Amino acid sequence: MKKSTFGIMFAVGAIAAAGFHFHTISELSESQQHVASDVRVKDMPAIEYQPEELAAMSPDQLIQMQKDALVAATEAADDASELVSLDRRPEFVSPAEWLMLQSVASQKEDSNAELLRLVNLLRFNKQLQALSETIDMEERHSLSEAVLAQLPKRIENREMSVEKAQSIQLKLISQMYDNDSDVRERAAEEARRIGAQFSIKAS
Amino acid sequence: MSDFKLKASTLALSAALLAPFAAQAAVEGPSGMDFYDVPFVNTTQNGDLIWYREANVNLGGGAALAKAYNVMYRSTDSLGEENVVTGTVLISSNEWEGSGERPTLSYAVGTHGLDQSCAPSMQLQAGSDYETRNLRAALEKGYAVLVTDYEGYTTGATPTYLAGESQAHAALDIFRAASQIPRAGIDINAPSAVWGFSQGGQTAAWVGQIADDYAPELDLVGVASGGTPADFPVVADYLNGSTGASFLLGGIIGLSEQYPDDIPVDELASANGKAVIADYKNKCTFEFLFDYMNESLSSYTVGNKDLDELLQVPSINQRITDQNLGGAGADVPVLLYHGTADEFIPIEQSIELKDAYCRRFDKVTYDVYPSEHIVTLFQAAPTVLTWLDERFAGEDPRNSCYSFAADPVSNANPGGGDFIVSLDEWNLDAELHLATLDQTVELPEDTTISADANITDESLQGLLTVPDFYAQLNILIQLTVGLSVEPVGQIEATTQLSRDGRLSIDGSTQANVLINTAGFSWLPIPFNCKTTEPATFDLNYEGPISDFGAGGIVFAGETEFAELECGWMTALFNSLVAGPGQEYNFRLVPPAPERL
Repeated sequence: MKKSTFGIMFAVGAIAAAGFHFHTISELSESQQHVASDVRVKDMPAIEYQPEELAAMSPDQLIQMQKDALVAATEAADDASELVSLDRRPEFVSPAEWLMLQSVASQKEDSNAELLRLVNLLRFNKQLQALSETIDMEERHSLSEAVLAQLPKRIENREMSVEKAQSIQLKLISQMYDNDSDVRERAAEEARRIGAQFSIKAS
Repeated sequence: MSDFKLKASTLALSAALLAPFAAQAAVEGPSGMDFYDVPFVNTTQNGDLIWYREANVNLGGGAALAKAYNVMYRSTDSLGEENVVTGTVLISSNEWEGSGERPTLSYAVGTHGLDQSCAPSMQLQAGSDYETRNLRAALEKGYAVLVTDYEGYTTGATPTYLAGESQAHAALDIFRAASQIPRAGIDINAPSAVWGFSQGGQTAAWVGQIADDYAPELDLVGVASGGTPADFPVVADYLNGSTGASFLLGGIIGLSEQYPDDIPVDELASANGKAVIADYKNKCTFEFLFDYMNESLSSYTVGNKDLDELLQVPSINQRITDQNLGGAGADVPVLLYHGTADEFIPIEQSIELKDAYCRRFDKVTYDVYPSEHIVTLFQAAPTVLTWLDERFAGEDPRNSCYSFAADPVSNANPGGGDFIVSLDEWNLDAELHLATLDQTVELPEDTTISADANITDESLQGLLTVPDFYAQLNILIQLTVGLSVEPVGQIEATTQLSRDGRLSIDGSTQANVLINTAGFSWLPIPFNCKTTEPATFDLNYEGPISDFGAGGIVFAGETEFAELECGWMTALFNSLVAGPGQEYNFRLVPPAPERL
């Protein structure tokens, strides 16, 4: 195994496990570390951190990077437009995520386009995640609007079904408005944007 | 008589007069249903070809079929009387890759029904024959395949259903008849075999017992007999009032046709019985199977006499027991096979047939299938064809007579109630194609489904079991991920078996996807990701019933994985794994047989 492959997965594992006993790569034998890995990043923005650097970090450091990226994704809610190009790692993508997205994208013929799609999708998913973790009403509103704005693109990219998108719409809109008629009006508007229909029988 | 028939008869008669001891000169028969009208032709020997014609048979796309013929030929019934039988000759488009000449296989069909339209030759033309899959498999091997209709499908006749010797004669005489078709390329001296299941199993076993006397010129190398009704009183008792009750009724009608004086069905049948018989004679297998399921013979007889009382009548008892197998040895190697869950024909009496042959030092191979009757019919095909190939290659068969394995015991669902086909830990050959990662993940080999398909109330309920497994995901090279597919609730489906033998399943099952660990084989790191809602896998299928046993039932489609909960990596894994467009392909594979 190449150090890079092992190192990054170990780092990710440590992040996911969050508290799982942490080993550093130096504790492993050379033969254990020697597994073929070839993350093809040709023509793609550069890796900011080397995998070995990530692997050498403590779980707390890695988790902090994830937290920082999540904060950046939350802050990016003010501009929900899709990124159209990438020349470096966006702040809402952690270094570990950046390496893995590049690895996955590199397997596609148009790796740059795939990386861009994955980055936009990751931002969307982080904003959804942030929504489930914040109780700040202003922040929630901003995130909700960002998520709603991006749903048509998620459907267009076949990253989400219309049914799933409409379920997210209704959940968010019902939390954004107190008035039933406002909920209905917004839900109908958002449903149109994703090519769905919305109707509630008057009680 | 039509001009054609008169001409054909004259030609045939002339040929017979000129060469009274030679095979009949082949005459091309008429088109349409006229082919089934028996012409006035003097035949001289069993197997004389009365007439033939090129046939358009429909075996489905991709069948290895070069040419097909219908034949009408002379044969002999169970009483030694001359009769006339129709059938089909199928020539494979595949080269025979074994040694020697292309072998010829007489495929003896199972129950088809007493109406003329049920005749195999007609159903093969209509593309509706339920045994087509086995015929295709035999043609794929490169064999020439002969399919007798048996006696009784010429116009105006009634089949002598289950008259064992008559059926065996028909299955043997078609070798002779086929060899007389000009330029068909079938050599009477080519290695030959007979294969059949159920009624066809009875036929094949009878062939094994009489071939040396009846058709000594054939180079018969073996017979394969599955789902064999060998002990008729026992089978009759098993069927009476049970799921397969219609086969008993059909057997009484068929045997009364062969032995009208000894089984005088017109005298035995009540008014209701006569009406039922008239109706039965107009139906094919998957019609009468359901229409007369679970009925007792007593509901059709004068004075409501049941099977036991009928068998006390000496002439009836004699003719029923005349059909028993094992009273003589087999002249050639025999493959017997049977399903332990056979709900129509009990496996124990098949084992007794094996024992009877073994006592005569015959060569008997015995295969046990963990399946019910219809599933076994199709599940067995690959194994049977391998066994036949070995016979054609001149190899010695395994002799199960010397096996110390315990005799199999029936685990069939009880009769008299709903018709339930149980799937006991059937393997599911399953794979998922992950959309974003563009990667196919194979579920572990011991993924299974256990289910009861209730054909009567058209429901299917079952459980999916998927052991935890590891897969290498295309996230980083050589990243091994520990996965679980965790079923949620039961499989729920509707299932229907149509009256032309087509099966449909319409249902779904749900499962969560879990990423338990990720890392490398020697160091898995806990992840504990799980979809927040189960994915729904639609289980929809429509096709011939033969697919059930032949591993042809495939559930394929797309599902959507809900978002996963993965701690700080939630957003990443939702971007890489969650979402729609996750393709699945699940193939039901029956459990493997066991050779004694």
